[in-house]
Amino acid sequence: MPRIAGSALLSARGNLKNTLAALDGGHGDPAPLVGDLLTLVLATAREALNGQTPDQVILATTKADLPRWRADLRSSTCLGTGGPAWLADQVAAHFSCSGFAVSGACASGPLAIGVAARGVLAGRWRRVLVLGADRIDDFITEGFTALRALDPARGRPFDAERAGLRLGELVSAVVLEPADQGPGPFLQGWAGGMDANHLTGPTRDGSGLARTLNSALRRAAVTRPALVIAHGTGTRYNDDSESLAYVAVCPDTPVTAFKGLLGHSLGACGVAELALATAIHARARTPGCANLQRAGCAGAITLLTPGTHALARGPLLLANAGFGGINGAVVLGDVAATPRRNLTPRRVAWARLLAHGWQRQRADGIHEDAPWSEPGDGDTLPRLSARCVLGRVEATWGRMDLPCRALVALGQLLGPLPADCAIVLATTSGSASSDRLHDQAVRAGAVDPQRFPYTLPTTPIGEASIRLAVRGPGFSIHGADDVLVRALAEDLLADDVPGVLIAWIEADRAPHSAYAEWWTS
Amino acid sequence: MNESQQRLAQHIISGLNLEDLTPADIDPQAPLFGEGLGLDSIDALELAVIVERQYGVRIPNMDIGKQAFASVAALDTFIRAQPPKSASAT
Repeated sequence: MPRIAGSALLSARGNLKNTLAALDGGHGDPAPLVGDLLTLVLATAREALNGQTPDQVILATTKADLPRWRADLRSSTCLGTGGPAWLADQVAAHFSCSGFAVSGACASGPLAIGVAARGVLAGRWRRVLVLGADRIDDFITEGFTALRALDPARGRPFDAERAGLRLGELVSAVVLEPADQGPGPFLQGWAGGMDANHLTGPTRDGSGLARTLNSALRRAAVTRPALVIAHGTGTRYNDDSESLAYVAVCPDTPVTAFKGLLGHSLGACGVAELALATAIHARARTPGCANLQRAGCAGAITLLTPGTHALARGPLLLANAGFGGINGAVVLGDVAATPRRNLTPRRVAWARLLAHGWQRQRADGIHEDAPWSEPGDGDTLPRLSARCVLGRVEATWGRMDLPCRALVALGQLLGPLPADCAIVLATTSGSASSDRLHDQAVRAGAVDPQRFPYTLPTTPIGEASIRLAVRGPGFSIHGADDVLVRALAEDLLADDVPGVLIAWIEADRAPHSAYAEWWTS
Repeated sequence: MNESQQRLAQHIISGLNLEDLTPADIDPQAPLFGEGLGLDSIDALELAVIVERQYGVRIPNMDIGKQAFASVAALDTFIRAQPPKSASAT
């Protein structure tokens, strides 16, 4: 297992130490970070690295430097400046190594950490700098307002009076190295999984998250963690669902949550919570649930009250969940064990969508070509209607943007897929078309709640998970070359995932491309 | 389907982007959500926006939305029972 060689965090309260002290205080509200995001990220990275040089940068994010990305969307060139791939690349260039971003909505953190951990275990990297960063502006606040998901009063996860989330910005960094490079703590377990249930809401009974938690604990060979650092957003549904997952998985473990005071930092939160967990583990004391007054959630869990609590020796379980029903979890502990499984991955099938139709090489070697009934124009894909892809009309199909439709179509062509398989989407443009429409709506003051969830690059994965009943890990990769994307899929297979659907989709500006491969071992 | 239900169904279809559906495909008595048309809670929030933009009727919370959005017929009745505000109705 990889060791955690360094960690750092920046919040409106200051560095990791100051932020932890604020959390120890028990009550408070989030605030934005002041300054250029790249500058903040580089400063945090340097602190975590403590003079060392990384050989790989992996950024956990949803929208990265969003104001810059929005300006780029409105420009005629549209180079992807400000987006996940861009920010990862900027940081990597600074350290003279390569970098890419991993996104999994608000579970981006544990998924990026999992990608890093698997790569370290595979011997690919010797020192990975995992970063968490997301800029929050009116694109995000107006979106969540339209979804009626913000608490107007205060963030208070797991409180009986909670009424939604509060947003806050955090930048964080964690450095992973092979276990033999020094002492712990170690990243003992990691897992991803999807609900295959609803695009923005968790499974009511918490079963989706529970599967991911069990999977992370199994990898870590842990049955009873000493502490849960919960996702705890403060929405009615998330905290109810999450509490039921803990009741099912580790009913006796105390639970704490930090987003009341720090705010929900979206794709950045998982890495920040791991950085905090490292400090909490080292001092054997944890802050309780920030802003909690009267506990009230569906599952009977032991919520730590605001203030500081002594921590029993043992591993820490951290969880995050996001739009698309995407879940992720990591386990931090003192044990370094479990080598990587050896295997021979095979690409058994592929499919490609074209303007005039699709091509497919099936697992049995048969090659097929078929025309679309409503072909696209030149080098753009057709609109891929439900009738065209599924052979029937569906009410919720029309709201999906082209990347979502393309991924469902590719999965459909390569399916049926095993329920536990993974979906990995490599893209640079991501959700740019939906982003542009939402950006216009925000500036016009007429936001559509229906569109906002489609402004995440990973929403196609969630839609594919729901429509193809796939419950394995799901995340997107931004800025990694094809060889590396396939290597990351191989790492998933070594994690006992039965198969990986890898898709490459660019469906914003012409020419469009949509291609997928089906890998098993 | 009467004329106002028909107009509402058209607003729902265009507002929710119900691709390849026409008002004739929507049974005014059938549930809009879950079984029936098959819309979900994201569509419910959008529907609240559509009702406000088209009829000037505000849905203050989704508990009220849940009842009002039971079917096209129920929503039509709900809208017509509201006092008109600054309706930008068409």
